[in-house]
Amino acid sequence: MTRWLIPAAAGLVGLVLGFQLMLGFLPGFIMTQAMERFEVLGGVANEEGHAPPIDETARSVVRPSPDILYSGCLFDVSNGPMTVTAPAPSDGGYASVSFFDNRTNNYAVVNDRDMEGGVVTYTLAARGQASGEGVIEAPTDTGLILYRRIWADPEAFEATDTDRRRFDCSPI
Amino acid sequence: MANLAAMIIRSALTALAGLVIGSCLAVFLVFGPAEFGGVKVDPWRTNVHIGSPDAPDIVRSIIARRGLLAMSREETVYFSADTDSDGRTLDETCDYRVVFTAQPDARWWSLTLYAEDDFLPVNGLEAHSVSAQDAGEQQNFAVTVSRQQADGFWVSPENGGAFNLTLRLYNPSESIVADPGVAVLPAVERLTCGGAS
Repeated sequence: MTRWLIPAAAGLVGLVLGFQLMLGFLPGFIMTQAMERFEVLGGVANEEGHAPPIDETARSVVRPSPDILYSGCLFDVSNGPMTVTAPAPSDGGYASVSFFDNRTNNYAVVNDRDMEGGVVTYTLAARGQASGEGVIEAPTDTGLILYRRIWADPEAFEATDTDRRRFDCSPI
Repeated sequence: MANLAAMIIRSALTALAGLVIGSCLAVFLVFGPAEFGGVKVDPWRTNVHIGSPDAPDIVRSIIARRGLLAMSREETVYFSADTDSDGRTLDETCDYRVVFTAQPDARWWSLTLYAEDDFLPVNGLEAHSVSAQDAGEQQNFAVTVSRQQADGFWVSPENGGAFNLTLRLYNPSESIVADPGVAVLPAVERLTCGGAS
């Protein structure tokens, strides 16, 4: 009995372990692949990029929204904090800045309602690097910041596009 | 002694086999047909763990594959439908009506059609979405889903295969954030199937 019981138990433990390890691995792997595919961000950390309007040729990230203009930056705060500046839409429309760690978790998000005065600047820092108002702590040193801006009115595209390019990521 | 060695070898081999099978099972679940649904408002599904660090590993993995860079539900609730209201898989060769009896209770919303590969279908028609901006003040309206251009609000599933619909609710009401299951969402009615492209 014991002759097969112990190997069977070992197999079961291996099964559960393999399942859990793979599930723990996949989000980071998918995120890394997506960050590499996000060509408009140039693969350079702490520098903003502005994606062209989404159309049927967009293949960087699944389920892109054609109603949204996307800007963003890959971040790496291992060598120090960075600033993230985002403009609020002057037409009262929706905009948001969402912060993702390298396991795909959306650990912080701010939207235009938080952007009093038309523009807002945050400091993104690793744990222990900075504190105080306007500081967002990143749970991992690397990840991605995404600025979303609605542009449902085609006639206003040019003005919206110009304005969203004020989104900025810079190392301090 | 020889028996013990044989058992250790057998255990190591079955553990290794288990490890491989467990890994493959996880890959199959994540890259297979599994949806990230948790809360259902037929035919729409969403998961309260989208974007959340508290998400179980299996949910996080599936979301990473099918809804990467989605925001947490406090900011946006994402509903997805891959069947009509009668549970039939959405199919590009059929025509549908997405019937709104009220605009979704959110600051802004959009309805987008994705091909079965989760990207916008490549058909040159630029008819992928309808939004709150298009609906304006209307409460009762319908969006036609058909390969042939339709009057009024229209999205095209051409080259979408077994397509899916995503309804995004930006800054949803507090009641929807607390329980997405209370959202009043449009029905997806199948009209006809098999029409020529």
